[in-house]
Amino acid sequence: MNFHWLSGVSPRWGAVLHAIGWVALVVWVFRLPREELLDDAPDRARWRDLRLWVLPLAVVQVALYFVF
Amino acid sequence: MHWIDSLLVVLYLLATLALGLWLARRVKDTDDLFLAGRRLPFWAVGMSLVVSDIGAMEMVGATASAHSYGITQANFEWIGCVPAMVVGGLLFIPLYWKLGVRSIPEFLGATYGPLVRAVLALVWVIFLGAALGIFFHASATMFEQVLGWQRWPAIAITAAVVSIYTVGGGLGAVVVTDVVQCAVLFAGGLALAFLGLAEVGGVTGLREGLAAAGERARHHLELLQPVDLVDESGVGTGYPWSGVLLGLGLVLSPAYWLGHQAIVQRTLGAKDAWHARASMLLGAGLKTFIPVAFVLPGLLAVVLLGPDLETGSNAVFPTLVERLAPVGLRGLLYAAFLAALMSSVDSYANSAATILTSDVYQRLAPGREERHYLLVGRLASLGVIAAGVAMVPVVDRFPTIYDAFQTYLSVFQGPTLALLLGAALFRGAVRPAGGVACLAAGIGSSIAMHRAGDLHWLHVAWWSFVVSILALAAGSRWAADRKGGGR
Repeated sequence: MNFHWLSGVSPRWGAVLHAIGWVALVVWVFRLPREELLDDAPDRARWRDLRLWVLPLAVVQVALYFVF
Repeated sequence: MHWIDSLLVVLYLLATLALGLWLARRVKDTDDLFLAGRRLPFWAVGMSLVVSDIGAMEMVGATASAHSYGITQANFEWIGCVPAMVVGGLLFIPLYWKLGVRSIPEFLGATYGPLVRAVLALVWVIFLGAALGIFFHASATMFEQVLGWQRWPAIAITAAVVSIYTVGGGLGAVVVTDVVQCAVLFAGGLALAFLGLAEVGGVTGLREGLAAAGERARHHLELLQPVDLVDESGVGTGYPWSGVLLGLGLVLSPAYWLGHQAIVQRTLGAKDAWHARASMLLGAGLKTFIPVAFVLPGLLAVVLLGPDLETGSNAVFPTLVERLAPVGLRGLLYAAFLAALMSSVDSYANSAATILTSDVYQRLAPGREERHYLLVGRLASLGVIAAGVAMVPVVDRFPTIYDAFQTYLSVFQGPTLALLLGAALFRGAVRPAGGVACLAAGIGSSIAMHRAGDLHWLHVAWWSFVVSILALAAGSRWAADRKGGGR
């Protein structure tokens, strides 16, 4: 239960799994309807599309786990 | 302590107090007290989310852990926050917002019934109240070590300032003062990190210094560490990558960011659903930089102070401040330290008062005037802070209580996340009986695994979540079959 059977597996695979998780998350986010996310927004300016906020977060997070 | 540093700390305290008192004039009912009248902009809520998550203990503890284990400590801010904040912001927060709930027990009670609501309200009040005692105790100890302040005057002044603006101004004052505290925290932490980097000779100097530290710092630049990492004595150490991905990334982090009362309550105070969503995403962005302010100094300390400190890892932060920060910046860092404590205390006090008033008192005494509940809410805030202060001598008598409390919290995380996922994604399929089974099996299995003692706590979180999900599904299925058979 302590996952010691993974001792021969490089932690780099953890970074790969992490990246796959982020790809799945971004795909899910971009499948959300834009109008639903802009519900209640004061205007329809492009920067208020919250899906676009997720992209830099995903890129930075995935990069960090591959760099370190 | 230099008089300029002391002056900065005093000015910071007075400014916080004045801001809180000014905001107190706006509070007219319990919605103002607990949800800031739903007027908060996303940037204020986002900054408040980040700073509420970093207490004085975390500020010192993160630097200490980074010194001991390395950059892997940053997992608690990255994989341990960012993905869950995205999911929270885009899926859960809009749901809470749409239902118009004030607390997590209220949200879960709507799906799982009054028993689950009552148990969770009790759990949260005990947790939040006792956590305040531990905050005050740990911070007072640090005040003595770091600032040389006497314990009780330090506790009394902090509690008095926080009480005045939290009781008077409610969530609005808590969030606005948090914005100032967030700015002070970032300024102080980043300044310390850059001064340290300059001292070791930049990133290259840091890498060379860590390599020179030998075996002790061999994994210090690895975010994901091996599952079987052991220290010199052969005992398991650090954070295994399996536990980081499964326990932290998939259980503890979502349970915290989707189900922690103090976190969720802030987003419910946003001026509309868009601001609530955006606040979580902004918070996630700010979280990305937290390790630069509080983990990087721990790594720098390995080079500057050596891999082993005679005074223990908790002395890393104060020792770095003394060594690197000039007069003036030291005052800012002391103010940041105070800010970290106050932002946690005000959040927990306001959240505990919300649950006591909304989930307990209003159910026991319904139909009273709004002014009556406002008074009860304010008294509850005051009572919770007073209870926290009164707990300090108790914490003194039981030195392991902090560890016990961390365990207490982790015991509830797996079942809480399972209940949240069930209520949000499978509302039509889950049943109250499933909720009760989930709580019982999840808590029971967690306690059993902790008692067994040979599982890493991140793995305990994962397995208790698995057990909770299975119990929720089985209990709901059993209840549905029973109802179907009776038709």
